Amino acid sequence: MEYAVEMRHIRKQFRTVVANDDVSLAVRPGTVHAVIGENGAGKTTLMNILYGLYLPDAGQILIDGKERHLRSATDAISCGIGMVHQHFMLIPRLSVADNVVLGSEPKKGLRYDRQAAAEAVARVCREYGLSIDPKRPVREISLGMQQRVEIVKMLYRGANIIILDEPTAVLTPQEIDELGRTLSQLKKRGKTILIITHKLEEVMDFSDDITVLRNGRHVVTVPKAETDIPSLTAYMVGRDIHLGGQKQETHFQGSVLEMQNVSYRRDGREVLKDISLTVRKGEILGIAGIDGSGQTELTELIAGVLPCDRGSVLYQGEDVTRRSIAQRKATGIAFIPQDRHKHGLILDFSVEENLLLGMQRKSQFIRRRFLQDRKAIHQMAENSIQDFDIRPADSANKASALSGGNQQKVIVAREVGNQPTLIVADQPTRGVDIGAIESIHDILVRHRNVGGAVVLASLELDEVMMLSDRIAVMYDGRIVGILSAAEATREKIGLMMVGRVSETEVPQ
Amino acid sequence: MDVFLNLLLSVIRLCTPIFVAGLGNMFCERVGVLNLGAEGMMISGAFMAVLGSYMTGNAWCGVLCGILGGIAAGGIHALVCVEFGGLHAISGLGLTMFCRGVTKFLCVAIFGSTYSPYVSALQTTDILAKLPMAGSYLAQLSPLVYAAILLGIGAHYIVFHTTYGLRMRALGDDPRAVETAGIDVWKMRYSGVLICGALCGLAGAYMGLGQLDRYFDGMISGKGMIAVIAVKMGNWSPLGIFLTALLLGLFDVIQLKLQISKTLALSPEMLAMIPYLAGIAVLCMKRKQGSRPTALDTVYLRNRYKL
Repeated sequence: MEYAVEMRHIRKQFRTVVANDDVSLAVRPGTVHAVIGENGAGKTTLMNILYGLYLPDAGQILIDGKERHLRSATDAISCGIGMVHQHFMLIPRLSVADNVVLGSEPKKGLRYDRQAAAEAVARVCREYGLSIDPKRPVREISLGMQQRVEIVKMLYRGANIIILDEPTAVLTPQEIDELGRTLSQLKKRGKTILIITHKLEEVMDFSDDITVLRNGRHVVTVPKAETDIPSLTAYMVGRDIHLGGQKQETHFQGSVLEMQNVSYRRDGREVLKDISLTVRKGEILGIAGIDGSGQTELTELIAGVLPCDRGSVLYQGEDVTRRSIAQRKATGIAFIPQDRHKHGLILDFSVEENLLLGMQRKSQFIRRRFLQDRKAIHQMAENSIQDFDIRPADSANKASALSGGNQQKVIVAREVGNQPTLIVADQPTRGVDIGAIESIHDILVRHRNVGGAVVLASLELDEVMMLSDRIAVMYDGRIVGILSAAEATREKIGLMMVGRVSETEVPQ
Repeated sequence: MDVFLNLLLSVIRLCTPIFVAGLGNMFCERVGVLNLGAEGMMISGAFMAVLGSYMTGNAWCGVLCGILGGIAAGGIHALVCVEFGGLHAISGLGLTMFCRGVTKFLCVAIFGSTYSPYVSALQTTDILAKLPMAGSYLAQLSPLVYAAILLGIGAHYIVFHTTYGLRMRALGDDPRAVETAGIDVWKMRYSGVLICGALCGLAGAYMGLGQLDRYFDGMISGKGMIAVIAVKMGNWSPLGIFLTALLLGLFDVIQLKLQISKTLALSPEMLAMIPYLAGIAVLCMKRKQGSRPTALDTVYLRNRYKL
């Protein structure tokens, strides 16, 4: 049988890191094939090779049975390959139609024919049953629709093989269902689809065949019917995994944090509107919402990174509205920021220095009033590395040399090691491999079990639902409602995430 | 009436180099390359234009040489920023200093002084003199001024109505998106920087052969930097740059008049600061980024240079 895509013995090395080592992949035409693996397993590298963005050091690529040398995206496009990247390749300022036709525009003489572009886009949308307004600027449309624009872009170019890199990362549950319908439409029309993901539920929903990569190597390729989630996890990680920590019974007593009618404006727009909420001892308060609903601003405001424009923040009964980040940190508020590279770590500093950040003024790390106590710092770093299983276990390593999961563990170790009362975490498991997710979940739940409080903002609905005792759902800078873990369902939260509060819902 | 028209002619004369160099910079910035080397490109253009006119005796050959001189300078900037991923600001400032030094050296080497002799120039458009009504005024402007107006209209058409313009606007915002759409980012960036070089060269040629008829060291005196500001103030559109250039030209005329009339007891150097101060003041007032290309001043390397 002839495969739509066949990659044979692909190898790709970046300096000292081997991203793909002897990886082979064969995709049957007209099927959805999932490529799964942890972060750094080499999935995206492999797909970038297929799309001509990287040249492989060794190996062969066959498209529809013919060997091809793909040196650029243009080569790949001419072979009928299209790729939807994880971060959309769209220009916000330009219209949907402009974005779709960019690179192969309809022309009238020298002139760019806008009308023809809009018509061509509308035609593709009709054919595949996708609803998009071609004339609207991309910056005004939702992420789900932007993804459809990307798919239309591929179809407009006549792609027969469509690669989707982490397509569900930014979507709401409803949009994910919609994507599923789109994929089956495409399949019906004979398109071959490659989908990269690490979310196994979706793998089981969408795909026909599954290829697992681990550490840049091919582990196994199986038809979906012959496998299940636990065995896929085992293939990905190489061992059994238990997410969600071990929750014990706790008594929610007294409030740790109270926010009263807090608002925050940026560029004249209210990004947080009249937020009131309470976090109690011994609970994890989850914050759900689609990307950009104000979750990041909310966590930054609690940590003291952003000031309130109105309202007040009470921490253990005291008004901390005007306190600085350092003062809040000293009284036991720990903060795990969303962007670990920008706000969590100094990448050029060593692991040891990063573990010290923010605590450099503590008396135990100071000697003779203003000198650093190197010995104590080193001891602390060694302990943290041991306790939190940071790999490689070398405190002199630069933070930039660590994998995403281990970088995140450095941040968690630093923040949790400071014996906080309240942990504020913004997407602590984003882009982190499943082994590290397991240990981060474990740490947060253990903190809760001993009577600490956690505010956890996450775009992963499963994560929020698995860990939280209560879930606050945000939409457009507002808390739409707060659900207890018992009454929360994916559907309820999904509707609230797009601002639709059902009648049965009683917002707190 | 006569006073007013003469004033208008002066403003047009003084705003033309800013407008043409501004147009060039717009192309450069719209493909995502910052160009602080506009000054250097103009110096190169002015010197080469006068030299070309001096050697051939034909002012139009001089203009062509000026454009080539600008392209040569632009080529250096393109090589550093587009090909090898150097920092745009450093490359641009370095280019300006380089051009300043080289032209001074060549000027002394060829003409024996930092001033060139008088050469044949293009200061008036005599064929327009026969036109009724305004003919006598229109003839007082260099043909290059009329060329500039045509270039402005052409630039507007290119940016907003051609596929090249669409790609250019996309590239200024996100080179990665453009590359994945199957467009050669580097060819586009080269073209933008080289067009900029050609236009800055033309602006320099106008200063050497349209405003004056000779070259002297230091004659560009910051006009290239003003052009960089004009692009931002003009919101990256040809029309906006034109209006900004008119405004800055007006300030230039005002300071020249003040110098001549001596109504203000200030040194000419202080008065010469007026257009620059006006530029800074307007920049301070303009907080919005408007159509600023979001990927302006970013390094985007070819695959073979990555990792």
